[in-house]
Amino acid sequence: MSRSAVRALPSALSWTCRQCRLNSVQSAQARHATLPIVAQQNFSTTKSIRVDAQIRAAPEIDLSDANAVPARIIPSSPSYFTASPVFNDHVLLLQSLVKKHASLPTAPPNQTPRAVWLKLSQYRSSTGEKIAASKYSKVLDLLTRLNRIHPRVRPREVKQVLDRFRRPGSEEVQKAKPGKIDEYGRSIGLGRRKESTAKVYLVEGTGEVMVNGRSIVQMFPRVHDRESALWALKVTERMDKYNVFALVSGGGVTGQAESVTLALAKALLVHEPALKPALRRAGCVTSDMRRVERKKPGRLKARKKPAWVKR
Amino acid sequence: MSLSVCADCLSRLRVLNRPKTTYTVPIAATTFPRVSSFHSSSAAAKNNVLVKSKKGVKVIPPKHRGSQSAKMKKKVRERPKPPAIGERRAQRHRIVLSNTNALEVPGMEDWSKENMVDVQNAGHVLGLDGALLDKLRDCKAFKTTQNWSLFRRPATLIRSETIKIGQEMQDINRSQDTKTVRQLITGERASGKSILGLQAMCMAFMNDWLVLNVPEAQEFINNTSSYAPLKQEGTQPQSEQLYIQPHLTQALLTRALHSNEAVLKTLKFNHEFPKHLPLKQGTATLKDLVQLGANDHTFAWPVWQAFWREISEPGAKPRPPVLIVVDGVDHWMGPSKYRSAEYEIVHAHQLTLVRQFLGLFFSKPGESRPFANGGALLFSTTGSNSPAYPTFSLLINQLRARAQNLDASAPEFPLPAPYSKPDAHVLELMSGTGDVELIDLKSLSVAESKGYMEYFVRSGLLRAKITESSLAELRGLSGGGVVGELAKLGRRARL
Repeated sequence: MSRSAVRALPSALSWTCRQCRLNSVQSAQARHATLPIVAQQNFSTTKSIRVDAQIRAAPEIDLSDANAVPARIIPSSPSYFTASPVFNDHVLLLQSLVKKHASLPTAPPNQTPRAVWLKLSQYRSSTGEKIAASKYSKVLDLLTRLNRIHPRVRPREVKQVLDRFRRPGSEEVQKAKPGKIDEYGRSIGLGRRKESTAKVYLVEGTGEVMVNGRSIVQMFPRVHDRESALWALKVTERMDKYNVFALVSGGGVTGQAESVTLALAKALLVHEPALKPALRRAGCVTSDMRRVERKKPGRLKARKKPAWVKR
Repeated sequence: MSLSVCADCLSRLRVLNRPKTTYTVPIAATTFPRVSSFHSSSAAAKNNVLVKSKKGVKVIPPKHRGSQSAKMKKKVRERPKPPAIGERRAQRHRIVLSNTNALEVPGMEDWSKENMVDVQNAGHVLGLDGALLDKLRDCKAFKTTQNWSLFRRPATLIRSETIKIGQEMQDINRSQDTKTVRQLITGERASGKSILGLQAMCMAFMNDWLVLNVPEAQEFINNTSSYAPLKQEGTQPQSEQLYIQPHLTQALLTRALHSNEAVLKTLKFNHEFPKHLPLKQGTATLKDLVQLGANDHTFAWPVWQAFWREISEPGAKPRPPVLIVVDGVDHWMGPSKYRSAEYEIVHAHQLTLVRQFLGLFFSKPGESRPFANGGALLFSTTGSNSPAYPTFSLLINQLRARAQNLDASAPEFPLPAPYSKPDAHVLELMSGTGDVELIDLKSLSVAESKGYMEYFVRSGLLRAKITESSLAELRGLSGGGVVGELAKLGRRARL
């Protein structure tokens, strides 16, 4: 039986084993290799490029004449061929400025001028380029570094560049109302954490602490909670310099203790604003905005899925 | 139906049959199946060395009887043995007075009769010597919550309240006319109430007083001990049935016997004791009497009565001053867990011992003096296990108001809330609060807390330097220097 005769069998009847399939592939390759190139050309439908290509070398550069036409035209911006040339120009500009003025003295954190930079969306629309948030954060870092140069010695070019990146209308951005010490010498701080809210009245004193009219030991039996409630006074070593009167409501024990932390830190900042960096390092200034994630339908909790049951 | 042979192989069949002179690809020869594909095992076994070698070996026929399945060895589960009966309770109540890992504090003074009320010692930690420890142990003065197991040897912090009580005890020792001091110690949790009672007992033992201690007032009312109705004596019918507690009386007498043995040995009878007690009338001492009650609970109540009469009623022979310390007295200020024969709740004040002690403490102005040679009564409340008895808290508030020189007719003077039902038994006590002094235990002073924390440092428990700021921090975290909370901070490992 010839091969063609077998191939003529209906496809429903005939099949090919794996060994035979492998063999057919190998033999096809072997046949291909032995065929001459000329024969191959017959199969190609397109014209060969090699035949028509007319490549000429560029003329020799004339180094003696400065005004001669350059070898190739160079774009003015080095980032012309990048995907986001404006952004890269900005980065290069800022980097050069930072490098240039690295030796200038910087102002301490509490004396650096308050700066509000362009938002990512604003920057995107002003440049017309799609810039990743992580890339823009590098720009912000450079801007912050430049902003730290002491205002007295800040060069004009730096000021001009910084102004270009300032958010329009940022001068009128609301500043936090400065706290006041009332007629009894108290300062008030408010703090929130989880579901609880704390209001702390802080007055100079000898280190007495009352929470909801009770001693702190009765209010927070766990030492950890007590420590976190008075953390602001502890890190600044002012435990025996102030009396604390706190009113807490809502939430659980931990939430209440940590809301007192925040409220106490804010009240302390009214008395001693210079403590802000120390308190920020201690983590007493930033409010924790996290709340309980909502429960979803079809789930047991926010994320928990019901157990898989066969049928 | 499909072919049983692959189409390509089928086509090569002819190729194989050709003479070898013609050039063909010699692949198919190896691929062509020599045996039918559905039956390969015998062909595989044909040349198998392993199968051949088995021929000589005797093949064991399979067992048809008995289980064919692989036998699993039964795992013997190692069950930890539960502790022996009473072991857990013993563990819970064990008093450990020493920690050999703690450093010995060099130059620590002992607390003795000589420096008992030395004001110089305020804020210092003084050691307790061995003889005193035995007595304190016998009268169950130590508790597991008092941090004795942290330090090398038992020692106690002398605070201003201690010195004040000591001075009053010295006054009783010196004064000719007998005087009884009544002090109610209150304060928040872990503020050192029980320790103050223990310190009073120490000072009483130093001065050879007679000490009676009730370490747990709760035991008297929580229906864990035997009780029996008291036989009504006399003609006038009492308004309510009283109950005696024989086993608790026995325990009280046992504590009194072992801790005061030396004192009791020297005391002879002033009065006649009941005939049915098996004692020799002439030669018996109070020790024999107490021993009798301590040995047998059926004698406990009559012995207690005789003993009480001996120490309270003055007679020919002198008596030492008496100190009675009760811890957790607020349990005595409400209904007990006991029931009467009619299944009505028995009030704590219907229990004779409770009634006796409270009657002594809240004695009415006209009544005779309680002890033959004076003494002190130190009742302390509990902070952690306090039952909600509003009438008793009202009583304490009244005492507090009186301590602030507030007149009883003043509008701010605390009174029972209108439309409330105050406990009549406790209200009755209020008329006898005239002599009662309230010791409101607050937190330690700065000097005291410094001395206390330095003791922790010198014992090697606290690895820190006690500076002004660190002390302020410790005091702030412990609610302004609550002594138990300070100890908690002092022993906390900082990793």
